Amino acid sequence: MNNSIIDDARAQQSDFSAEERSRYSRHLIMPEVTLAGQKRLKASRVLCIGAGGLGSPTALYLAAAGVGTLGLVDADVVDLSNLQRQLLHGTSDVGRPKLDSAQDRIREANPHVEVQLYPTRFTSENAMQIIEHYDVVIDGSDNFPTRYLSSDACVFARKPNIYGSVFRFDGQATVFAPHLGGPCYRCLFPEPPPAGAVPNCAEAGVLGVLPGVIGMMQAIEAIKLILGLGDSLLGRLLHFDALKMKFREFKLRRDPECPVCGEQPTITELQDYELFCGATPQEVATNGAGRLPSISVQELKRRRVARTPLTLLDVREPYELELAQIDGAKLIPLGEVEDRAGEIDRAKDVVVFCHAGVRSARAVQILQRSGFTNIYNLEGGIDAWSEQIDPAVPRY
Amino acid sequence: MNLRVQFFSHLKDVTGSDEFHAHVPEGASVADLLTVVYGQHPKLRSWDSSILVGAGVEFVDRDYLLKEGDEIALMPPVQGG
Repeated sequence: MNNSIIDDARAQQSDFSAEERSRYSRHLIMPEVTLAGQKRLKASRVLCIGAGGLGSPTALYLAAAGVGTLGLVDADVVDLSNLQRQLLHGTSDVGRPKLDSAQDRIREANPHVEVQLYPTRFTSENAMQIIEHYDVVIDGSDNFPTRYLSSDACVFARKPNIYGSVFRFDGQATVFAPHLGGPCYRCLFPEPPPAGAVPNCAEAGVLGVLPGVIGMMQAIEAIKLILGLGDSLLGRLLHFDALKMKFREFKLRRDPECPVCGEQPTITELQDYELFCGATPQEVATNGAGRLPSISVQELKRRRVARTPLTLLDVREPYELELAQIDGAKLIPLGEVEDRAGEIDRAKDVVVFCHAGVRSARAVQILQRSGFTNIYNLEGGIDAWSEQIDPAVPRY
Repeated sequence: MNLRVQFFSHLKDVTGSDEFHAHVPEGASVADLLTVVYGQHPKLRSWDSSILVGAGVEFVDRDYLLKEGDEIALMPPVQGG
């Protein structure tokens, strides 16, 4: 009996050249794979949502393993800060669309793979049309709206969703597939966390190797489902702590009351996931309490040039100062803002900044509660300042 | 009974530590334990609705009755990729 998600008739249609037999020989000689299994791989179609930290190892290894069709969804352009972990892209690719460099790298790894590119954001409008062409979906996205979208779309389309996520030195992986008996993402997390409360990689950082470990686990799980081998992570969440070098796993159960995959679903079509998860950092920090007073980097520059009196407050961490700083700013890390509010000169307008504008939005909120009225969030943080005003300030 | 509570991922930042040793009475539930944990780490309270609680090798509901020696894990959702 074979539990492969690829049916026999489709697998039989694959032909193998002599070159391919040599290329895949280390698979072909394993009794668990053989030519029959390699044919299943060649017949299979895998969609990677995201060609970044997780998508890089996943796509590269699946291509090398001989998956027949690889779909990649990503709208981003390669940035220098990607290269520490996203090995699909190289130094000479900076500025190119990620899917272009991904395609080049995959072709070099294995020219037999058919690569389908979707240089767009994965949205409620295109998700079902894209997913229907694939047997397995790999969630290598980097934000909650896309994670809920990818899970819901896979539930509706009855496709396994192989989940991975990373935070600094920690990673998690599992397989969501209610149609195979497991839970979906919503069974675990029915509601998203308060918008902006959970930092992403750009805000929190991530050990470059970590998405390599987790992404390769996702690739292995995809191959196991295609070959019908072993015990999948269906119903188990694997947590990896790189600092302790420990794996821990937790059993997951389907929630019979899940609004998407439960017995009486209340959500039967894709939603507006940005809205569901709460949209911008500004809205995040205010928790929906209305727009936060803010100014643009251009406006800050204008005021500095005009020597308008103002207090510039930097709420980043001390170790970020040596990466980049704006002259004349006072440093009070976000965690100390509440206790040290008395040190801030409130006679002048106070402009608060951080790296990208999320922490500073929270600081503005804290200080408003402490009675500050003439206080503004610098939109886009020091990163926007560097990009749009002063290129001498390094970006990080 | 004494229980070791581990904080995962971002909750380490929120609490400023990676574990907490809690003392709860026999027959206490996860909800009782969380009350003790939140008492020590008040900032965690706002995360309550998104925290998964692992006891040993299972994620459990808030009414799960704790057993001596249960290794408790508090895990937030993680988005990074």
